[in-house]
Amino acid sequence: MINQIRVELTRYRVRRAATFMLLALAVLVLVGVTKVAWDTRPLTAQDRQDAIAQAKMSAQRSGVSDLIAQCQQKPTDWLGPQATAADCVDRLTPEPKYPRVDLNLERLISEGKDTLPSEGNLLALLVAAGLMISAAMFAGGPYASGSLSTQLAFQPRRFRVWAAKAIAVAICSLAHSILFIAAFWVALYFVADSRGLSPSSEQLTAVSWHTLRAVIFAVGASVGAFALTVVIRNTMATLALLLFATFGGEVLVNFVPISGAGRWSLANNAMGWLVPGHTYFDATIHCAPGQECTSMQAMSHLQAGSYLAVLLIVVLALSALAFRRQDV
Amino acid sequence: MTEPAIQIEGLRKVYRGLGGRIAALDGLDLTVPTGGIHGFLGPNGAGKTTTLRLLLGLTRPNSGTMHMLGQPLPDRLLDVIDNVGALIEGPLFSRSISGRKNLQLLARSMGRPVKVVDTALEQVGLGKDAKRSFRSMTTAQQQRLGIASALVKDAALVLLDEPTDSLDPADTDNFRTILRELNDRGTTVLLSSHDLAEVQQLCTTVSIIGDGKLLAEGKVEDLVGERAARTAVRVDSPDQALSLLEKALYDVHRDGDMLVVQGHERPEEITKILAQAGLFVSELSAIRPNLHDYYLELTGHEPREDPREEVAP
Repeated sequence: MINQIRVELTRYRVRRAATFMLLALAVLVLVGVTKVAWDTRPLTAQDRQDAIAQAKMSAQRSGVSDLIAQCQQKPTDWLGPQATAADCVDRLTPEPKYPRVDLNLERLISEGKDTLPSEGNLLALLVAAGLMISAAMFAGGPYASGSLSTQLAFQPRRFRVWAAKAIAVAICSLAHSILFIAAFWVALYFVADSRGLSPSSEQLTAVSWHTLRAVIFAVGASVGAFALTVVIRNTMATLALLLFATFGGEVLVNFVPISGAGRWSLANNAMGWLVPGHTYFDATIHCAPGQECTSMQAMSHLQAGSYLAVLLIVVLALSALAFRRQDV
Repeated sequence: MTEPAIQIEGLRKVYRGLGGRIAALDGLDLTVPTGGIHGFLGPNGAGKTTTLRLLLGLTRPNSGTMHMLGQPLPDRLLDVIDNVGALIEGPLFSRSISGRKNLQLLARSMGRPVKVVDTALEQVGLGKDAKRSFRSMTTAQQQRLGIASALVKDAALVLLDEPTDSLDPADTDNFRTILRELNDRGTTVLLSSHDLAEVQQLCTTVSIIGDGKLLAEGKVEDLVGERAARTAVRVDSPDQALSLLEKALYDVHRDGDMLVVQGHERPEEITKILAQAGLFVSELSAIRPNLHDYYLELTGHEPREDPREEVAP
């Protein structure tokens, strides 16, 4: 078995597609680090002056000085029993809005900003996607070229071949995901350190756990993509199906007439696994009359991890069974 | 008596597709004797490749029994696979990997030392070129690599599916030499080919299949040899000669200026009978139906009817 795993590891590594994918992921990490470093670059004196001037203008335009004056007459009415006139100025004067914030590693793994996941999560998703494509090509290539029949003519122990291929995918995905995800965080750590913003131990702990979850996610996703390709026997068809499941599945879930169907969305579960305290809007939630409920739902790592693990196990079982029986 | 290298009985394989069920093999019987080079013939779609794929466990039969090197298949395939070299459906390798690397990986997957790869590559004359990626090799080089893959194993039996396709005459000659050397070392060869002349030249025994069934099987000379041969005779008075030979109970008919006598076991008897009547033979030759004609007859095609073209001296 060890021998077979070595053979499959070599087959995985020496492919040109694998090399291209590694290069693409390396570029992705470089771009990601550069973008975060640029977006969080230290404020210049001019930036600060502009922000303060903007805040003053804003205060004048919105009649804030009138409000402050009214507050200063009766501060306790405005700000509570302990308030003083000075508090009125502090708390009612608009804060300057600086064009960017300092680099904070923990912010990069929190919930998404605007429509995109935050940089740490986006990187984890893209690394997983890259490794999934690589794994699907590794599995589908021998079907496309017909070389799988040559491989099996030399080693007809089908389960052994399948398991060795799956393990090779897992090992390579593990190594590559650790390499790229860790490279991203280590680079940002040094960027923060160089700016005198040494991350706290809480931040480092949060990032470490996130890295672990991202690596597990990437390995599971790539092994799953491999297994699914073995069932479908075509790389492009597998990737198309995964794309449909990811995006089309979201649309479908929103139309399912079952309350709480968002719990079963692949994207929600993927984000639930990666993002600490992930919340999502579930359009399928139906509130009974008189009952208080919200469409914002929370998903824990355990819930998401269980869902993804069961999905992976089912695909692996189907794949192993299909490989044993299929004509090649 | 030696056990056959391959023994197949009542083998049936049905493929299901959008167009319905297609029986690739419909009760095929096949016996490949140990030690020789056995030709495996049949039209496209007759089931030759399916048979070879079934023997290698690449697909599963619906019914029937198979034995290879004395072991029942597919149950005991693992016991014999290390002794069965194969080239099925052309050379099929990972395209971005070099030829040598492809063979090394295959050898390692079955626990063979990597040095056997170099030996196999030398045998097929593919030393330096094997460093190129499979994709960038010429078709002939890819074919040679495929043949080399069949030589990587310590094979007692080699299954070859149209191995000389896309080889030039020099490569084909080289391949035939390799095949004979293999056979001289005791390796049994099952050679599926469309090149009937090649099969007739190389093979000691042959099986012809059509529509998934066995049509004929046996030694090549038995199938197309002396029993089926005829004798062409040219004399000055063919009508008189015809009468004489018929009286001597020969199965004879006239074909233009020639007489055609069924059989070619004892041509001297014919000359003797005619000479005794003062008729002297100016030409006497054997007409041997070749494998090509025999194959066409069996598979439902009419061979050309021009005995002169087929006359052998």
